[in-house]
Amino acid sequence: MTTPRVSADLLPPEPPPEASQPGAVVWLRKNLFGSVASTIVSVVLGVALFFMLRGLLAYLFSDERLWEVIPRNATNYAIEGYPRPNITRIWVSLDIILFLAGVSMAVWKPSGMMSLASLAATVRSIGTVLVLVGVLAPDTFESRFTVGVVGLVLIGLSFLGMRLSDRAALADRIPTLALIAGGAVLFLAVLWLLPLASTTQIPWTVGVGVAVIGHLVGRVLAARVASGPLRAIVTAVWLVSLPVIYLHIQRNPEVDWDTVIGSWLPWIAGIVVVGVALINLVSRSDRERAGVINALIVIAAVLVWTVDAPMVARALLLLLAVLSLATPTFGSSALGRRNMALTWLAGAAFFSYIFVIGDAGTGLETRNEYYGGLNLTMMLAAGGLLLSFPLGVLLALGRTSTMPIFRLLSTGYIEVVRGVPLITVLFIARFGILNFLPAELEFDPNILVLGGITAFSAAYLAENVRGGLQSIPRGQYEAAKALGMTTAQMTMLITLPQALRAVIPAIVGQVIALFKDTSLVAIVGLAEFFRVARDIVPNQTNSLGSIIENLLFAAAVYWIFTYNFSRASQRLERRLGVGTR
Amino acid sequence: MATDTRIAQPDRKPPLWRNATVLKWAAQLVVLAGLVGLFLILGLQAAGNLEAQGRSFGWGFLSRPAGIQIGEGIFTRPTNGFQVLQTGAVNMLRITVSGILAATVLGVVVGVSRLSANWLLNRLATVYIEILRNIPLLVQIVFWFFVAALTFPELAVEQEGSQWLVISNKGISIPWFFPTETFWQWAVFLIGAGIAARIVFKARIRKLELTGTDTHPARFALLAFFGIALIGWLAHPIAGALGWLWQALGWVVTAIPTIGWQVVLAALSVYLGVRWIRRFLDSLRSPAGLAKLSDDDWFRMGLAGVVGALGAFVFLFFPSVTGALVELTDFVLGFLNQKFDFLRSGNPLRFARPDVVVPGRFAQIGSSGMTMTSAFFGVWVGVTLYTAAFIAEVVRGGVLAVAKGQTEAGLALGLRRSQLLRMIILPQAFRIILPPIGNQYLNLAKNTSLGIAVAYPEIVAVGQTLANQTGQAMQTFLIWIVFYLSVSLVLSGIVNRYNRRLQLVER
Repeated sequence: MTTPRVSADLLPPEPPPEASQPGAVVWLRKNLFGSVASTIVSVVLGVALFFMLRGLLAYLFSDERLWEVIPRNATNYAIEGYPRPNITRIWVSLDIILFLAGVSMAVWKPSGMMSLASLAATVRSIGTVLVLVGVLAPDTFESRFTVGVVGLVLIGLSFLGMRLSDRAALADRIPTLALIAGGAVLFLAVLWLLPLASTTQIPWTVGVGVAVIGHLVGRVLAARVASGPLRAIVTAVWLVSLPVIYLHIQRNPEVDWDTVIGSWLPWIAGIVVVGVALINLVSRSDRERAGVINALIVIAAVLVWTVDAPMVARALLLLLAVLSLATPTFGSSALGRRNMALTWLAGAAFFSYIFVIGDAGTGLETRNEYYGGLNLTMMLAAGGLLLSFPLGVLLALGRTSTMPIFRLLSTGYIEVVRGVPLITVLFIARFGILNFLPAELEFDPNILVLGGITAFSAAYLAENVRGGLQSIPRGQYEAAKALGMTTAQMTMLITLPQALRAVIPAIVGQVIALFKDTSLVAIVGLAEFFRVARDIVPNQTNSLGSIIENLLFAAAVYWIFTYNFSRASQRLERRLGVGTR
Repeated sequence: MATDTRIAQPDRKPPLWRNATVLKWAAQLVVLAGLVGLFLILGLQAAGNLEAQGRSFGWGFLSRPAGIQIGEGIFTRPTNGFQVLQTGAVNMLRITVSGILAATVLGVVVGVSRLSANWLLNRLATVYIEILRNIPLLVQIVFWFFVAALTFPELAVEQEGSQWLVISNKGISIPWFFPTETFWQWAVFLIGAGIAARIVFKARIRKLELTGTDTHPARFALLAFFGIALIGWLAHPIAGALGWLWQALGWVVTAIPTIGWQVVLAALSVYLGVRWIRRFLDSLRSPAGLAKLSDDDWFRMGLAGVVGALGAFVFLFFPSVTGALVELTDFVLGFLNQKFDFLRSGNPLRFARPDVVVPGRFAQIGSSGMTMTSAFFGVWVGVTLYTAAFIAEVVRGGVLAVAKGQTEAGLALGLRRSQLLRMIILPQAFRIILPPIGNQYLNLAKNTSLGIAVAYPEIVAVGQTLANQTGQAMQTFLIWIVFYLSVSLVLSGIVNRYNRRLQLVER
């Protein structure tokens, strides 16, 4: 028998299944005592679980545990060696991120709703855990009674929620925004009421306020600006915010303005003006003349390395060469010409900024290594992802290219990097690369390790992107060719965007792996989060013997981040419908 | 317009700088030359740096005394750099092999439990997976190490003497069978027993397919294996005769002068290159004649030719390479020769129980049992539990991917649930889960490198120490890369072999 295939929109909505509330006995018989084997498993596991939980709680809440070490070292965990007098800079960085998060919430309008029933289920499981803790915890844990009562209250609330969600159709769905706002309010309430971190009360309150302001600003913008350009702009601001935070705000660079204005500015200004003119000229020329001009630019970009020019000029000329080579392909229309010129201006400004800031010394009152703790972990994860993205896409294109030498080089790089463990890559980056560079060049260890993480991550990212490129139907390639597109146009406009969209979940998975992998930089001596937990805190005189407590805390923090990442990636996967289309 | 002229004069070839093929190859060669130039500059700089520091690049440190003591492994007081690395490599392989076995068993159990109808089991498996795979492995390894080193009971002086099981903060020790000096002779029989069992198994299967009666292939194969193994246990000195073979081969290898080997190897290199090109050309040839060769095909053939010629060149003009190969072969044969002796007798395996010794005031674990240090425990438990969580997810995905109709058909045939799982679902799921499980094995092998965080002497940790002692960091990095790439190649080779055999034959 076949059912006629009808679009789901045309069918009348199916009535919801009968809300059958099976009794507890029925549920138990079905799920725990379904058969003899199942009964045995349930009983054995139940007994084992009971003793395991009891032992675990007895360990966690024993008097010998030094849990007070964790709040005492909260600042070390967050930023480690960052000079305390300059700590406002950290809060400003956080405020920028919160502001952008607020704006993004308004611009992207998270459509996800959580049903009251699933919220109630979450509350109920939290309540159940608390009750279990209250019942099974050892007597040494004084607040076990309170914990149990709180758990019972939560369970009661969840049943109330269930009732409400059964009755009122209106109260059925809670917008994500309301959940986040509720979470923020709860967070602030805990912060102000419990004596855990009293010095952070005001900065966190300000931060939440900034996020609210960001959200309001975002709403105003969303009402006035078309959503496409607005999203592009907000994304660009996110991307730029990372170097601004880590190179500018947290570093407090002391720029040597005499050198910059005296010897760099003429080069920068000259190259920018010439660049605008040349891009304009190339886009209006026929192919022969464009080729000649491009060849001249490439030669200039090579020759500038032989004269005594500042590094920024060399980098800018390289950028100009790349852009002008792309101009005949992408900048032949008036719109394309404008976009190329804008790209050039933005790229030149960004390059100049990075070089000026990167060349400057730090104005912080401290020793050399001022990044540390969770701050450094975040920098390595976010920086590694951002920097490995272009490299990874390039490697993926190289590996799928029809040009054999490019393919051989890309494949070789990818396979070698994927064949060795990250720790060897980090050792090579931290202690090996310097052997190949002139001795007078000095590099921050953080930058070297970030380079290692980038090189490692790019190989894995390339494999993900390659999967996306290979999943695109042949018809897309053929259609692009039939429209007379060049290979570059086909890649940039047709295949690569689709490939990247298809591999977003895989890339989120890689972000999770990258975040976990940042813990390895502790082995090469960087003071990131895990090293704080393993070496720095337990070796303080007032925290000796607290290593296991610190490790458990570190594990919990990593787990919270990673678990939420993976939940978010599952939601994203469902929303993008990858694999179901 | 340019297009119009092209249409008007179709036979006019485009100029060189507009010819797509020329441009493509020019771009590739320019990039290649740029890369080679970059590496040349970096290499020269590195050589200059070394010279400025008064050091030189060489492999002498492998044969010089290293002055390193290693916590555990085949050489705890290695006499040279090579033994240091060898100990690290063996330690790494110990964890890799035992970890793969344990993680596979645990992963399959957890993965199947996640699909169990029993709510408690199902939940427990889910919690296991969600907790373990979301915490960085390094944190877990360090955690387990400190659990073993800090919370396990102290070794008491009263425990002195032979024990059956020792669990202490100084390590865990269990009874074990240790190979003796006659083990290699018995191993020859074991290999023979494996081959014989395979032959018997295939023959019985063939008979089963022909006659349709149950011929018990597994039982017969096991019988053949254990029969030959038992014979070997008693008669292993016979295999000692192989020692003469190794000796004779060693004489042959060293008797031929190096120049002879150079010619042979160069010829082999050229022959392999030519054979590859000819086979490649044959594969492109169809009844209609030779297909038009693409850029790629030319490049592949060129590369094969260059590699073959380069090999011949190196063998002919660098006698030291051939000399080193001959020396290595002679060394291996000499090593084998030591292991085989016609007159050597005794049991190939020796059973030993752990013991506790009290050399001074404090008790220590003696050397007679199989001892797992806290570091080994940390790394082993860490990688096993972590990898098992990923394998469990792979197994679950594979089982769910088996079509529902298969389950229903199996149930309709009256199979029990355990039979259904064993005979219908798992064999089909295995085909799906093998490639991702192979990836997890590779990850496990690479993750053993985190042992350095708990001072477990695997190859990265001992390499790091060696590099610090000798100042030869570059060579150590190269050794790491080559070692891990070889392990990856071997592991993925094994997995791919099984994978090919399991794949459905498509017609």
